[in-house]
Amino acid sequence: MLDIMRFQFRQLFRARMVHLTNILMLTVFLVMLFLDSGNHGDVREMMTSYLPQTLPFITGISVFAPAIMIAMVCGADFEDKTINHELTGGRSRTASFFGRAVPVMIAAPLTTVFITALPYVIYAAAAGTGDAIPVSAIAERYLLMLFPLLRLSAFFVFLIFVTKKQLAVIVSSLLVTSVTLGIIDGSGRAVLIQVINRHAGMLSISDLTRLTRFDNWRAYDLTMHSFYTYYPQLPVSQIVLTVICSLGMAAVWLLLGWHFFHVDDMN
Amino acid sequence: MQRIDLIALAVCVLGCGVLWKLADLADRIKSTKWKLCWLVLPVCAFAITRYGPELSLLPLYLGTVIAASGFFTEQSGSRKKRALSGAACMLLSIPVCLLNPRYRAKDYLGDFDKLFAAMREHYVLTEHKGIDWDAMYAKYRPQFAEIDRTQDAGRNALVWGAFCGEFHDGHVGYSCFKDDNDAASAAVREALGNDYGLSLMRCTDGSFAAVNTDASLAAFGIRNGTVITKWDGKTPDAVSRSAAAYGLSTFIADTETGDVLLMLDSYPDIDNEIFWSGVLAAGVGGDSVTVTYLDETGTEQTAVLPKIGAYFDRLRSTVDTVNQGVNAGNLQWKKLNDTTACLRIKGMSYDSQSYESAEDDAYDEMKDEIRETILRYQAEGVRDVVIDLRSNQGGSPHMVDGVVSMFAPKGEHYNMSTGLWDAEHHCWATDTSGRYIPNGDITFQGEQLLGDGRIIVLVNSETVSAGDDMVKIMEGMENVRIIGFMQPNGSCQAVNFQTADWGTLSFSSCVSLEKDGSIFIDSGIDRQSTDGDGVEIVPFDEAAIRSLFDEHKDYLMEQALQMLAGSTGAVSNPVLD
Repeated sequence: MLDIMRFQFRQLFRARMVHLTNILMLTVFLVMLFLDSGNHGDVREMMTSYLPQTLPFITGISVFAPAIMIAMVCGADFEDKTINHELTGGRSRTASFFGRAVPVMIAAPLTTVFITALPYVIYAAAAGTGDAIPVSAIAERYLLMLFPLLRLSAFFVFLIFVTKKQLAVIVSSLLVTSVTLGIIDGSGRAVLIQVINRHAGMLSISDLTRLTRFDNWRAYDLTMHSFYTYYPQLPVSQIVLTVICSLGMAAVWLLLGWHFFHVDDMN
Repeated sequence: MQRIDLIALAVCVLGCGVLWKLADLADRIKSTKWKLCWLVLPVCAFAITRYGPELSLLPLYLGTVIAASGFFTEQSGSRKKRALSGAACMLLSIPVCLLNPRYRAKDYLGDFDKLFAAMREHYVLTEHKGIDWDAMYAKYRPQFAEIDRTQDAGRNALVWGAFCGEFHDGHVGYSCFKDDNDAASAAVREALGNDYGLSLMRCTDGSFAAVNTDASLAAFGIRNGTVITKWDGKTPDAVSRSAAAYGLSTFIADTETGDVLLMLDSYPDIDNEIFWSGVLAAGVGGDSVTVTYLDETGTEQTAVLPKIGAYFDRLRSTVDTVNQGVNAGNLQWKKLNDTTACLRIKGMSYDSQSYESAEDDAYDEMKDEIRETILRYQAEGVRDVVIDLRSNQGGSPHMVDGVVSMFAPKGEHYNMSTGLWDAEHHCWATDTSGRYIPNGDITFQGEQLLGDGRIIVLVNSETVSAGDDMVKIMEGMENVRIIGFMQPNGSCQAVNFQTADWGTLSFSSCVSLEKDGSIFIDSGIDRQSTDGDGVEIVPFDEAAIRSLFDEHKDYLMEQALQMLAGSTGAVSNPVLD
C-alpha cells in the first residue's frame, strides 16, 4: 500500500492540471485582493481588516481545488483502467482504496489552505498586516479549516469510488461552491440552500462558512464611513464540534467508500 | 410534535418500508449500485426540518443509521431486519418528543443574554440617559429565565417591549421573528385591554375627552368631546399608568403581511407621553367600567359601560385619526389651493444608491425634481408650501440636507456633527469629561427657492430620527413655522441592529452630535429632547376632536392653511402638565 501512496504523491506533484488549477486560483485570488480596495474606498486596507471581508468568498471558491486533485488522482485511474490492472496484478482492493484516499486526503486540505492563505501573506507584505484581528486568531481559523476540508475530501473520495467519473466530483464541487457562495452572499433564501446550510454537516459547507466568518460589530459615522470591531474568539464548543464532526464524518465517508469499492464490480 | 418533524418521521418510516421491499429486488437483480439507496434515509432525516437537528429526535436519527447499515450487507433477510429495527427505533421519537418539555425549545434566555450584552457594549446614550445596566440585568434576566422555562412567546414580546420602554429612545425596539408574531400580537392585544366603546384623549387644557365613541354611548349622552372625569373612580391618567401596556415600546405586526398595525411608544420626550396619557386608560377594566362624565349642562353623570370587545381596533383607529397625514406617496406633491402646495415626506430615503452615500451630489436627482416642481408651481401662482412630516420614519440626514437646502435661506447651514471613532478601543472617542468628541460638521447650502414664500411643517410624535433632524434645522428658519398637536419624537442617533435566534434588537449605536460634542436632539434623564422647542402646539380641544372624529377632516392641515391665510388658533409651546 505504501508504494501506491508514494506513487500517488508523485502523481500529485506531476499532474499539470492540478498545478494549473492551483496557480489559476492563486492568481484570481491575488487579483481580487489587489483590485478591490475594500470598505475604505481608495485607501487600501490592511490585511487583518480586509481578510474578514473576503475570506468567505475565497474559501467558497477554493473548495474546487480538492475536487480537482481527487478527480485527477483517483478518477483518472478509473478512466484509464489503472486500478483494474492493479487489481488483476494482485493488489488488494483495500490497498488500492486507501493507497489513493490517504494521499489525497493529506494533500487536498493542505493545498487548499495554502492557496487561500498565500494571497493574504502577499497582500500583508504589500499593504501591511494591521491589528483588526490578531494573526494568531487567523492562524487558528486556518488550522481548523483543515478539518472540514478533510471531511469534504473524504466525501469526494467516496463519490469518485462510487461513480468512477471525474466529472461527477467536479460537478459536485461546483455545486458545493455555489451553495457556499449562496450562503455567504445572503442570497441563500432558496429552500434548498437553507436546508444545505443547516444540515451540511456531512459535506462541511456550514462549518467552512462559519470558520471563515468573523463575528463583528459595524459602526458608522455620518460620512457613512464604517468601523468594524471583530470578535475573533471561537466558542470552545464550536471548535470541539468542528473537529469531532469532521473526523467522524470523514471516517464514515471513507468507510462507505471502501465498503462499496470492496464489493463493486470493476467491469 | 411539530408538523415538519412528523413529516420527517413519516418519510423515514415509509422509507424503511421501501427498503424492505427493495431488499428482495436487490437480491434478484444483483448490482452494487443498490447500496446507495440505503444511504438516502439519513439524508432525509437531517434534511427535512426547519430548525436543524433536535436532541429529542435522536431515536429517529439512530433509526436511520440502523436502516442505513443495510449498505454493508447483501443479504435480503438481514436488510429487512435492519429496516424493521430502524423503523421501530424511529417511532420511539414520538414519545420522547411528547414527554420532553425542552423539545424544540426556543432559547429566549440565550437571546436576552446576547442582545443585552451587545446593547450594553454599543449603546451610545448610556451616560446621557443614566442607564444602570446592572439594575436592568437584575430586573429582566429572571423574567426571561421564566419565559425560557414556560416558552411563552407572547410574554417574551411584552417583556422585550417593557425593556425597550425603559430607554425612552425611539430607536430602541425589539421585533420578534415571524414564528412568534401570532403569539406576540395576541399578547399585546390582550395587554391593551377591553373596548368599552370609546377612547380617551388628553386635551390641551388638561381635561380628558371621549373620542372615537361608539354609537351605543349616545344613550348615555356620551359623544366625541364629552369630558370624562373619572374612570372606575380614578383619574384617567392614573388609570393609564396602571395599564398593562403602559411604558411598552412595541408594535403589533400583521401576521400575514408583516406590516406594522400599531406602534406603542415609550416617548423620549415627556411632553408626548403626557399628550397620549389618556389613550391607554380606555382599555382598563373588567366586564364593565363606571365612567363619570360631564353632560351637556356641565353636570357630572355616571354610566356603567359594558365590555363590547377588545380595545385594539378602536385604539388603532384613534391613533391613526390623530396621527393622520396627507394621503400621498413619499416626496409627492399635492396642490392644496391656488397659493399653497403640500410636500409629503414619509421617510428620509430617495433611493438605495443615495441612501448609502454621503457625497455632496448624492441627492442631486431628488433636488432637481423638487426644484422643477417648485418652479412649476410658482409659475401657477403657488407661494407657500406645507411640508407634511407627520409619522416620518426617518432615514438619511443627507436627504434632509437635500430637501431643506431647497427652502433654506441662501448660504451655508449647519446640520449636525459626526463623532470621532476611537480605533484602539473600538468605541466613539470621548474627552476627559466623558463628552463625545466631534469630528467634522455636516453642512449644506441653502437655495431659498420659495423666495419670501412661507413654509409650515406638520409634525407628530412619530416624526422620528431624520424627521427630528429636519424639524431641528427648520425650526431655526425665519420663514418656517412648525405646528402639531404634539412634539416630534426626539430621537436622532444613528441606529444599528443585533440579531439573535428569535428576534432583533435595534438601538442607537452611532453618535450624532452638536458642535460642542453634546448629544444631538435625544432626550436625557430629564426626558426633554432638544428639537421641538419651536413647534407651535395646536390645541387639542373640542374643535379639534369634532373635526377629527365627527367630520373626519385633517384638522392640523386646516389649521396650517388658516395660518397661511392669516387667522390662526395655534398656541406657542403651552405648558401641558
